[in-house]
Amino acid sequence: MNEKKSSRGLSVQAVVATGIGIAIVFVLKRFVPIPTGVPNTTIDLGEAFLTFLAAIFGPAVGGLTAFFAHLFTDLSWGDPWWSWIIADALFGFLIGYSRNLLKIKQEKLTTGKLVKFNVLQVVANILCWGVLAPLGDIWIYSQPAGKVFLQGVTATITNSLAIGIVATLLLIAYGKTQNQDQKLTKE
Amino acid sequence: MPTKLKTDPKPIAGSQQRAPWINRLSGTTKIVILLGLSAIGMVSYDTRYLVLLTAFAFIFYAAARLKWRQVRGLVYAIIGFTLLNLVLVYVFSPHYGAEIYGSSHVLFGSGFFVVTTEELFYLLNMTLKYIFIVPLILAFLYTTDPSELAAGMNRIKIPYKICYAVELSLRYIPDFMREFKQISLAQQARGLEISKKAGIWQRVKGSSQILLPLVFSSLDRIEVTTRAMRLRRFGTQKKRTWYMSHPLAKLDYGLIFFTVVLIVLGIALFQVNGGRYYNPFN
Repeated sequence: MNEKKSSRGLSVQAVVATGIGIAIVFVLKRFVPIPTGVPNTTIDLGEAFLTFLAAIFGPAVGGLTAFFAHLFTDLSWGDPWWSWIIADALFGFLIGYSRNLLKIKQEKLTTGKLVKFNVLQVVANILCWGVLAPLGDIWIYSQPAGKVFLQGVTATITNSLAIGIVATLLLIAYGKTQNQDQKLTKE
Repeated sequence: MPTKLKTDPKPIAGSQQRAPWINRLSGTTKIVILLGLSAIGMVSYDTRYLVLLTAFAFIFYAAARLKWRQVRGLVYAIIGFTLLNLVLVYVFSPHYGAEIYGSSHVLFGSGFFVVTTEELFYLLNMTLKYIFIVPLILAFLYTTDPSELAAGMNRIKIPYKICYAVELSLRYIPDFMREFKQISLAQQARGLEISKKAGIWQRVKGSSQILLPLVFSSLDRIEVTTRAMRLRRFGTQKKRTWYMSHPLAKLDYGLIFFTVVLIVLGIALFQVNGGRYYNPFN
């Protein structure tokens, strides 16, 4: 979808994908959270959709969508929590690189690719929620380590699971709508 | 949980033309105040300073003339969150306050869960950090127009394509809320249980089944909107103008100046206190 002249900044499609992505992730984060029992930590389908979006449109869309969607969700609760917002933005950015791995628009989606994608998402989750977000809480907000690591580890596990299941299913469903002719030759 | 909000897109995208001066504030001013105070309040642990910031935030809240009915649900939710966090922090490290302030005045209890004045003081500071910005945000949520926000973001040199994406998202949030509700009701009518009555696994499964139609309609919408914007030659120029952009007034400059003064004061207090914490126990 790249045009020759629109090389400066984001492409039109990236702008729209970011805008619509923020709106959907916000709605999912804000109105469909499933509590885990640990305060401020929920099973988050927003992250699953974010991952799916980033896997199609790349790191810039992923990072921006994650940043603003998390910011708006926090603002709508009256309280921006910057360490987690930044961690989320980084997660969206990192997971965006799975676009190069999956190449879902050009190539067939294989099991091997999905496994690699899931390894990448678990690593990104551990890095962002298990390490960066708690460290940010300790450095910026000076909260006790035990509490923030409990929240961080819970978020890592629930996000990895939500993304592993839901985002993978979304990718498979989306893959089927692309390259239909190649799909027919399978098996 | 603020049930009312679920059907009401107003808190995010609504602008009510009632409050006098706060509605005249430019989007730029609001962003600068919000980001500035949020950043300095995030770092500072000085009780006096946080109280001052809270008072400043309440000026905006008062100006927005919100009805208690409008914010009630959110306020209860915030109180709930904050209490849960306080309990968790205390349970995990009852000695954290003593560690920070370097002294320990036992109030009552003994053993691991001993209650010290330092811990209570630390928890008070943490509560202030949780809530000081809430009145400000509530005021801005109800008095800011999405387009004005985008214009304001662009003025502080955020690339216009990002501002436009944000504006698009604010435009689409009410749409997707409606669509989500419709799909959810349709699926529930077909026997899908996603309410609190179902178990976690059921709810995850049910919610994903709502997700699928929502995702594919959104991908379609991305295609359609992209085509429409390309036809209108979006993104071919270096700059763009905003209908809702208007020059900063005296009031804007005054408030931005005051915010800068507050931030400088906060930084000066780091010097005075010899760190982020204000320690009354020395």
